[in-house]
Amino acid sequence: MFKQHLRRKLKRSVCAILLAAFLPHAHVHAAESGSAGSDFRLPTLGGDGELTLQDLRGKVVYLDFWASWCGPCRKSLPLYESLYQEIGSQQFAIVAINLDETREDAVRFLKQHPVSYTILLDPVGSTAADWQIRVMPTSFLLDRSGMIVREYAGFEPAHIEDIRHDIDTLLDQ
Amino acid sequence: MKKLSSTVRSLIASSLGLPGMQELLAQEPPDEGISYLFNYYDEEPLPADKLAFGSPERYTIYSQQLRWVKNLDESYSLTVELLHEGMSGSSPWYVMPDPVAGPLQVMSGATIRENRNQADVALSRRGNGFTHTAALGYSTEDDYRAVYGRYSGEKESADGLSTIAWGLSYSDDDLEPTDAALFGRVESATRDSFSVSTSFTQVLNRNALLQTGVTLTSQSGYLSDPYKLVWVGETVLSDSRPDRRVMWTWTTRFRQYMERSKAALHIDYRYLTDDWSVRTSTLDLAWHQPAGENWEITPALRYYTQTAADFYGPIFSTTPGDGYWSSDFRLATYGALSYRLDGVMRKEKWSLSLAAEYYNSARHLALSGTPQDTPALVDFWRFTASCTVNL
Amino acid sequence: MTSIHCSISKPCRPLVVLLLAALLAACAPVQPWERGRLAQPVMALDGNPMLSAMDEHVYSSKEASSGGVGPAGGGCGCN
Repeated sequence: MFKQHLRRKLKRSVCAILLAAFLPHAHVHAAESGSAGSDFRLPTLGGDGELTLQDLRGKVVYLDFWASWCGPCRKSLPLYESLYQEIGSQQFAIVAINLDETREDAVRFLKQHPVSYTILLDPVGSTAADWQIRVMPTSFLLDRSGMIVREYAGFEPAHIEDIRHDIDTLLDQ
Repeated sequence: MKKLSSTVRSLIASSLGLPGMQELLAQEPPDEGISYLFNYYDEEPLPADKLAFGSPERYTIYSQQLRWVKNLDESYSLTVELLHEGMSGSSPWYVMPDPVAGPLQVMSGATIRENRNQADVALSRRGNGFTHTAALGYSTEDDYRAVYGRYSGEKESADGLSTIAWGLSYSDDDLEPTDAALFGRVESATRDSFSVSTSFTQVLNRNALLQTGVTLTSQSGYLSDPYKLVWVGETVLSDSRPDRRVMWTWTTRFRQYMERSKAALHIDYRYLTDDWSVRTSTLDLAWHQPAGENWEITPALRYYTQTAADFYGPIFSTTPGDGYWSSDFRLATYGALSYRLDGVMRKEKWSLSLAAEYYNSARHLALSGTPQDTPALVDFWRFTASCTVNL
Repeated sequence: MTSIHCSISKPCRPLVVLLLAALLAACAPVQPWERGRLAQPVMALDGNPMLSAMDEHVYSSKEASSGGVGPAGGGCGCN
């Protein structure tokens, strides 16, 4: 009796897991477009201080969540760098939150793909959890008041033009 | 909450409709590049005390392979593979009784020289978590031609932690044995093979993943080896096998990350059973160890065991009633151990891989079944070098 | 058909249930940013497809078994 019950329960939970895994489901987002992004306080890669989202008020911010092991990040970081060089840091900031477990992995990656924008370290991924990252990499575009304007899940080189256009639109406001 | 400006509103609206940007993009296109592989395969000579007559020198094979991967656009990619193999040596012909030494192997006398060329083109399409691949291929030798096609698909779950895959393949083969009239071989024959497979891959936790799958293969047509003879009673007859074979294969692959050494343990197991009474088990253990900035060193051990086909025998004293007989060592009960060392060097733009393997087979290595004298069991060395340039 | 028999015969059932339970117990949710170890080259199911196809070709031409995960390629005479 008990065994049968257990088996039925097991069968049901296996089915539930399979269903949950393969059915497209709606995500409930805390980090939604039109809402304020949740604040953070993270150390910089250089170890010369900490940065919060509050510090960036008044600038259009491109916030990128990345890791050295993430395939598309090999392509995205160099493209973000040239974007940053073009637009400049007067009214715009790129802040990249690195989610590697160890700092060395990030440093090794950045030696091959150097960038001049701000890198923050979050080895435990608490900001990634707060911002409800679903795929690596994910980026957010924030307006001058810290509101999320758009989320970019994943990256392909062809998307850089769209990102550029979105940033320009915000800067022109 | 601050009111959104109209431009920002339209920005948000447009982002919802933008294809590709909106949903999950975990599916990455394959790395584009060109790879070259060289494989040297050398079988050890047959020991003198197992040889009746013929040449003790066995096969040496040089293989070269070229592979080109190109992403046609965001969702389509093309893979082209070309293979050339040059083979030379003698192959086991039949087994004859010897009142003193027991069964002895007769090898083909003259050195066989043969070339094989193969081309394989595969087109893949990715999108919405699915990947579909269709491929066509052609393989040709002096005496053998195969045309084949396959389709495979996979679906990644929404959370990217599991994958279901499925596949179909079909191969249509034509044989035209050389010197057929001279040796009384079949002049021409055909065989075909159909297989269907499915597998499931699951990330277990942040350090481990598991894949398990089954394949059903059905072969029909002329499945005998036209170049092999069998000692039956007082005479030698052509190798004779059933014209149908159905195989089930169950494969499981496990990967465990080792935090302390940053290495990975790979455990692969495969079980095969067919309607010829062949049962095989293959256990592959490998330790993938990163070394220095760019190297990965992998010692590996492979154990293989099989039981004989029910029509296998080194020698038949009487003619089997069902009309099937074979003394092909590949259908005997035996086991094999192979030791292997791989090294890979990975750089940003290229990678180089080297591998060496020693394979040793023997009847006493069989896990189950009743091993019979099988003088032709093979031992070989293999060296492989391959490199990939990312484009 | 020993293995197929095994999976449905009575004495093996607890074993199968136990195995499934162990697998489920080993399962833990893995967030997208926690997949760094799984993404390491050493963890690949098939790190070098061209090399593993060559391995498969060598073994299947000398042994009675062939095939693994996924559909097979074309045949060869393989003396």
